[in-house]
Amino acid sequence: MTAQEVCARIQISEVLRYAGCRAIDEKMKSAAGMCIEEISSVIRPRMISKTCRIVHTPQGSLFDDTLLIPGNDLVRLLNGCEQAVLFAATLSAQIDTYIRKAEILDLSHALFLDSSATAAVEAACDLFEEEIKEQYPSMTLTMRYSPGYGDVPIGVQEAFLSFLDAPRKIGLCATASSILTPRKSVTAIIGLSKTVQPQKRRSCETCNLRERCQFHQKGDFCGR
Amino acid sequence: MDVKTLLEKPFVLLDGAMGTMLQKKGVKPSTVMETLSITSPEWIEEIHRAYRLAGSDILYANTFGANRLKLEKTGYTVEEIVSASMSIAKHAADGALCALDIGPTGKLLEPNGSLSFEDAYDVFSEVVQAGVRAGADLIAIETMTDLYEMRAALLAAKENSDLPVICTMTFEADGRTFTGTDIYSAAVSMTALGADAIGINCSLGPKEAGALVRKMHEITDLPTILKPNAGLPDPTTGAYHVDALQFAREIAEAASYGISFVGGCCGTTPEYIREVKQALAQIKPVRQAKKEILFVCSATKTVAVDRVRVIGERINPTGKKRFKEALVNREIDYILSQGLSQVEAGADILDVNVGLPQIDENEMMVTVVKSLQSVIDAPLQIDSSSAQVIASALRVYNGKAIVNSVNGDDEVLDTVLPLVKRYGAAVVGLTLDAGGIRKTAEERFAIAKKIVDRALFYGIARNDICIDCLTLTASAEQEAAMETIRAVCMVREQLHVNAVLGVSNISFGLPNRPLVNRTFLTLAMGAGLNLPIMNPNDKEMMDAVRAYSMLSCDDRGANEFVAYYGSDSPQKKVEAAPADPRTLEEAVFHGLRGESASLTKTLLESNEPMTIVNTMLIPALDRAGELFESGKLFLPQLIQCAQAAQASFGVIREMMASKGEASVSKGKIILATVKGDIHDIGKNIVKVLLENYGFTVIDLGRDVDPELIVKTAKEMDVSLVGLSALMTTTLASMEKTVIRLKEEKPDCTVLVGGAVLTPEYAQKIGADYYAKDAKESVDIAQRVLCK
Repeated sequence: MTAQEVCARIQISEVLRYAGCRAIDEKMKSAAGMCIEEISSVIRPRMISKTCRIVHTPQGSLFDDTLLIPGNDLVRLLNGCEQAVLFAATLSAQIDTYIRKAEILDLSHALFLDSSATAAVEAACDLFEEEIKEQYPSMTLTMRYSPGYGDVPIGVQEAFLSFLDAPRKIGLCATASSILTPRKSVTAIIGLSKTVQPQKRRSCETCNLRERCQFHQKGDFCGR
Repeated sequence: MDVKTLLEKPFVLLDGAMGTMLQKKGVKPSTVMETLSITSPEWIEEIHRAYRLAGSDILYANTFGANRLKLEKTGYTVEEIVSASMSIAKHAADGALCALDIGPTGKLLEPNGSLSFEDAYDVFSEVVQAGVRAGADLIAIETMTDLYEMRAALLAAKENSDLPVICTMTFEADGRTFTGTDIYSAAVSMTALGADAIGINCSLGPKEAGALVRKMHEITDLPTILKPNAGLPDPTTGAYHVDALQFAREIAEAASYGISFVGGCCGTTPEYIREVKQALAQIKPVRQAKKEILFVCSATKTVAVDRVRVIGERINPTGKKRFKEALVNREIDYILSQGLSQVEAGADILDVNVGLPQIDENEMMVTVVKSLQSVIDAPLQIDSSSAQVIASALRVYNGKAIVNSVNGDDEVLDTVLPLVKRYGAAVVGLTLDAGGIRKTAEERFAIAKKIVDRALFYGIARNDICIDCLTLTASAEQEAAMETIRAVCMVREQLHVNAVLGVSNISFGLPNRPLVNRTFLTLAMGAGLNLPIMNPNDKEMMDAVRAYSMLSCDDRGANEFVAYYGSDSPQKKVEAAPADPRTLEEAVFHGLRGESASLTKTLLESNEPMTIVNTMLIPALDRAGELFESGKLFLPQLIQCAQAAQASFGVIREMMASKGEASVSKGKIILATVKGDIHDIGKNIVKVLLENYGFTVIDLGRDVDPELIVKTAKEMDVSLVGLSALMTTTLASMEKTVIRLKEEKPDCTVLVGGAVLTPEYAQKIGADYYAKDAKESVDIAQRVLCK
């Protein structure tokens, strides 16, 4: 997956939303468009994934008899799935440096760059999800589910990354506070089912950040 | 066999993969492999023996991840694992040498991650000490993708043992590591810091990785290492496709170009090593030629001083009131912007001087070096008269720096040169001593020679020495100008070292300074000056450097010259000139930075600074703020407006500082993102807004220790502290910071904000205020500080 492919997938409206623009203004739109173009030569999208068997245990979902991820929401999501794809994606560290530099020179520009990069990592996940769909044409995919969402503890990040050998393979690590570094990175689980399952969408109802979410407070939604 | 004898062999055969062999035995990839040294020692020993039998001269003990961060959850100590692993390797060695193998910690270092350089050093020191106790013959640091982590490990190895150290990093096909380090910068840094051999492991197949190691030969005269994978892994199965014969053939080809340490990484087995041994028998060894050019680097950029390279002089408080004010108020961003603008203007290297009597220079230097290297890729020149400050800066600098400076004084030479050697820097020697500055070129040359001899004595290479023949003011000592030029010539021709010169002093006290500066610079470059220290924002000086580089054929084919001055060169974007003259208030409201600054300049001719602030800037900001609150203006527009106000403020502050007046301030506020949290764009937005309302913001950055916040609040007597946290996992450290502040400085008001906070939670952890956005932070600051 190349940087250009990822950037071609980004919707300007997403970037504007992340940057806190709730109405679309032509000037802002063009600024966001330029930032998408700009980051396409900075980001280095890297992915790693593993297709695993799932065993449901009272403690949570067990992947390939090795990685245990607690959380009833995840068990519910993966209900009816025999397998799941665990993956990690990162835009690599260069974009973090690039944004830091922009923060000193021009903060509003930095805000658009940051929002573009956030949209880019989501776009990279979308592209990856399409690859999975092609790879498993007879299976139904659940939505992407990430640690920290619902009742899945964010604390699993390190074990999740180490299960994928992500630090070594794509340079993606977690800090002691479970923040993914480089910053513009995602870890997620997609369930694969042979029996057709209604596509579950992410919703605010199950989100543990609901009370605090700035998008939610303004009647908005963080996902699509 | 001892290490010295081994290093004299034409080729040294390393071993192959450990993990691959263990996986063949059915060990799960998620197992912490190092624990097998205790639970299944016979497997490890069998693998070592197989590699020894295949011909390996060095066995890497099973200690790759034996550091406290990776062993944390295993129940074993570093000492236990290292001692068991080394003992198995030694038992199986049969004449081979046993290396303490050191891999990455698995955490990303600052500034991309939150593991500090100092903590990484401690983690590696513990491993090295255990390895020495367990009888390691040498240390092999491998698979590093972050140069900073490599430096921490290499420094730990050098400072905690006398063992030889061989170092390899891991690159992607484009020749960069995950964190962006290029081949040259990796080679320059590892060579400078005292590795005994350097190279590449893991990463790619032998052919691709071999080509990358060859590039290292352009920079280093050390033996080089190639320990690649058996090709690239298949994306779906993870299998490697280069077989043992092909692997050996490609390794042998790489060896014929001068690579002397070879082995295998992921996917290789004893069979591969056996084939490599056979293939090497046909190859004639090549030794690296000695390198005669000075190379300096940051983590991501190497500068070869093979032509005139400009050292930017602007990060220096001497004679700059605004810069002094920035140091006193800890305005790190101001200092960074000085660095960025110089790089933009064409500086190759940045001089960094932050010495000021009223501040802690040591602490400030470390902060500034770490901050600069987090945003700027130009290598740095550490400028201080304190050996302690130089040592602290070199320690944390992620690259190869230049030290500015030593002089002919024995005490200075014997204190600073050992530091230069220890941290692998280059050094500037001023041609003066306790007796002051000498008049003639011959006298200065004599001091230069003494400095060069002493540096060589301490093991510093000739190409790492730079001599400053000193520029004196022509208005005071007219004859001195040509003496300096003559001295530069002598130093270059007779001592074969680099020449540094601070140029702009020459014109002090004269009219038409730019003309004098440019003429003197041109003369000096003609005499051999290759490292002018100057202001790169001075266009005429940069023009002279570009013209000289073209005339001296350093700019081959005049390509750079034509690209820069040719008619179709890209013009810099300029803010469109307004059709009608605007008021300052309008310019600020519309976020026009250039216009706001120029209008402020004009207004200052007939208005008091405070009048401009109170009647024009603040009303514009208030108007924008109100529209933001009512949802008619959005965050990026609010920031643009704030930045325009900032540009206007900048002009006001420069003017007041130059008149020696204290700057306008409505009070001091500390801002910090709490310990463990590394998000800071939100905090930076709050900062810009606060500054524009006239508050002095002391920005302590991100991932800030509670004690530093408490200490700063007490020392600078700050009564409002703003804390930000973006993760549920870092709220605990926010609470801890609030508690410490309330204990140590009870009169201090605490304001908190961030995505995961709620007013209820803010109250629960004892904060005085919760702000939902940047605008509300300003309202609260006004309430608290402008009663």
